[in-house]
Amino acid sequence: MLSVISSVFIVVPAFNEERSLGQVLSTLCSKGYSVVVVDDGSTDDTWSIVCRFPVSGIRHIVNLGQGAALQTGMKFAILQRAKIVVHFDADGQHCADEISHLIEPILRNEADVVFGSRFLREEDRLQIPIKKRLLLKAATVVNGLLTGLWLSDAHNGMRALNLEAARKVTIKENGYAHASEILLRVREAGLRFTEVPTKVAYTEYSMAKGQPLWNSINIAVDVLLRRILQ
Amino acid sequence: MTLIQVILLLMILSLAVITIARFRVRFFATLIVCMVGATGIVFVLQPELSSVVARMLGVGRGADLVMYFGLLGLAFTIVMLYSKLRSVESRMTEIIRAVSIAQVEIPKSTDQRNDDDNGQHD
Repeated sequence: MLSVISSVFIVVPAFNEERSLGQVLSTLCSKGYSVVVVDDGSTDDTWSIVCRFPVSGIRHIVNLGQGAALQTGMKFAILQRAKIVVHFDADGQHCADEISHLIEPILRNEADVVFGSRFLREEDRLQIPIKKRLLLKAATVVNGLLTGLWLSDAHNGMRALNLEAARKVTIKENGYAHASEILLRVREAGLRFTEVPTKVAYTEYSMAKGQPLWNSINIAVDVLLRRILQ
Repeated sequence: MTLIQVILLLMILSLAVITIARFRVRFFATLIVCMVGATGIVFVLQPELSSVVARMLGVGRGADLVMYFGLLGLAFTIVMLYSKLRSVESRMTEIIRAVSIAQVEIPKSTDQRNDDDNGQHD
């Protein structure tokens, strides 16, 4: 069982997360997973926090964006012969206890990619501020139309991929549009996918760190331009 | 020849020379730059000719026709530049990724880290 857990690589992209990263890494390390932190050109003490934990630390010399950080982490995990790669936010929004539920469909060989969703359980749904909830629902429609993959949640940073999926899903969108791009790659590669309920803790800090609501328009434009110009 | 004609001719010629010489564009692109430049020079020297072409295409004034094509050309240039920018960004990302992974900090065992920490405090 221990070898299974250590072959699960948790990729944590971090940009100026000195306030929350220590707590997040401490919880993840206590679970026995292999943790890869990609410091995406932080200008605060994020890197010195990474160095305090038994995690693989990768440092981008300049800030490239969350999508680029995730791809760097995934590439490293594949090189380390990971069996499962999990994307996990550094701002403390996600719950480490839920990783075991997230990877279950992959361990049972029922899915290649598992997406976390805040809309499958009533209590998780109600946690989302109303404005964000409406926007996320609108984003699921935009994502569905652009990618052909209809999910209950959009831009949920928690997802798990098996090795085959991690190899096939190559993120080229450096910014936040990677969330939609992943859906596109999953559909193009014909990977099996499912959703599992995950809760998201909305703290003042995570709300401030998260993408502003209007950024959704930028994301939609990015996705659309890539579809046209690719 | 009016002053504006002199200014426009100088600008068109300078732009064409800079584009071809400095950016070392390919044959096809050089051809387009030469054609657009030549058309510009003809229209500057014979402004009434643009109105003749405009009427043939169903546009009222020659100035409007030049503006329409100018805007189209500008939009095309922006799309091309955006594409180029994405390609440069993508290559830069690959380089930074390769360098970052090559310099990865692999975890030591917890005991070793604690030893190191103690060593630093001593």
